[in-house]
Amino acid sequence: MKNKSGIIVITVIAVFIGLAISIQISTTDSSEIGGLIPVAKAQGLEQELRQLRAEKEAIMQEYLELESRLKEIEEKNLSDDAFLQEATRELEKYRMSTGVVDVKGPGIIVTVDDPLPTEDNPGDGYSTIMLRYDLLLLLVNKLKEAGAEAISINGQRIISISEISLAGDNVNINTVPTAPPYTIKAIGNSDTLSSTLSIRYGIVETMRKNFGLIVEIVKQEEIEIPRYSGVIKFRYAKPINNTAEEE
Amino acid sequence: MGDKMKPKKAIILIFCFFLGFSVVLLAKTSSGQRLYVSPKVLEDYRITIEGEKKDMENLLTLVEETENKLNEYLALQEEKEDISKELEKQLFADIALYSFASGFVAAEGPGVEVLIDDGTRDLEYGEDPNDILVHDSDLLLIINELKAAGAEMISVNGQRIIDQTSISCSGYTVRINDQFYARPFIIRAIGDGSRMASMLIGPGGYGNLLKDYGLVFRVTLKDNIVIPEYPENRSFIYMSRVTADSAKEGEEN
Repeated sequence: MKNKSGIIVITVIAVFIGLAISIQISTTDSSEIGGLIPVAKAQGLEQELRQLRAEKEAIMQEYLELESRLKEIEEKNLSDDAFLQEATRELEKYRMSTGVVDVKGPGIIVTVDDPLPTEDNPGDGYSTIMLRYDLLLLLVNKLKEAGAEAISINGQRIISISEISLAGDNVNINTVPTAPPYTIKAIGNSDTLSSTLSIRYGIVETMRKNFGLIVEIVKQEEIEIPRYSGVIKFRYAKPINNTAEEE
Repeated sequence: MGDKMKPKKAIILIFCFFLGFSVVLLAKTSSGQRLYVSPKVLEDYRITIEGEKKDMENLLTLVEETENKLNEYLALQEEKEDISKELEKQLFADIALYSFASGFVAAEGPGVEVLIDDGTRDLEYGEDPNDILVHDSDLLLIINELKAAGAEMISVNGQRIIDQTSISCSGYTVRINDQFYARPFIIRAIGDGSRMASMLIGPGGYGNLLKDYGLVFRVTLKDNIVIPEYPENRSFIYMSRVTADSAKEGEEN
């Protein structure tokens, strides 16, 4: 009987050691760079991000208010002249075309996220969509082809000089670093926009099937797209004024 | 007999119990989506936060500029001066800037001229002819690289690239701003010429990749490049402006 109890104790200890080893392996092995991190840390960052976005929203509101006050002054002092009225309307069109006003309208929201790591395909710790940022470029090109009037990616308005470029580990858009998940908003005919993307063998199917990306398209009655947040300035390009000769 | 079997059975029982327990425990920890996240997720958050901070800085600059202008006007108004002249000047300066930026005015300046043409080499046995042809994605990527290197104005075969310009293959031709073009493609860009050139033909540049495939790719620095204006008028059917009031109340204006 004494012998038997010894065996039991050894069995129990062996089971525990085995268990401990297997847990250890399973937690450190599933990711290649530096193991797993408690979710609390991610939540902390998420909190920070939310706070930053709220702050940004407040600044945007302040900007819009300042702008409307400016407009008030302009209207009060320029109202009588028809020629100036026309010029003001012109300016509005030019500013909308440049992308320096916040706009809203019907359209679609596309979200693109990296594939979830699975047992068979744990990933190499790099973001698929960031390495293949050209897919974003193609997607945006397709949206333009479908007649999108305004496009933004993660809050960055796509204007005529907007780039999507891999700089180091970041994907910069308008020189602002961005990371997945990517939210692409486009104003235009939402049916045309969404069918252009989701056509068979189209860009979304390629992204899903060939790269395993998670892509979702949502049509919406009204979406808002922010203005280009940088300053428009030209150092090299100069206008050629041929209007002076015409007039 | 019965007495002898009992401890053995007990051991097996305990062993099975532990085995089951360990399986449950393992399953709980390894489906760790809820308990743990990968470092990539944290890295993504960090980049996004960095980006938002930069964006906020940009916005603050805008706010400051607008505030300064507003204060200037208010100060002038207080002195009972006529500010309509000042406003008029600003209005026309803005029109000049934004009509230029949105592509309604032709531009000139220093920059680069990029020539891309289909390759002339013979195909290797069984090789796809697409390897030596220019595609819309090649043009898109080159334009993107030029923008990343600070190009201010870009044209492809004389078509001004604006924010709504799409470039798409349609058979043997490429459609740009609803006009059809075929090879060769000449991309002109105004900006810092040497920076743009080194982006394309420097180490890892996209131009080098095309050359390796056997395509014709040439970059020339130019002192004076002319880029024509966007030929059509632009009107918007779907989008309208967001104003301070509508942003606050979320109403249609």
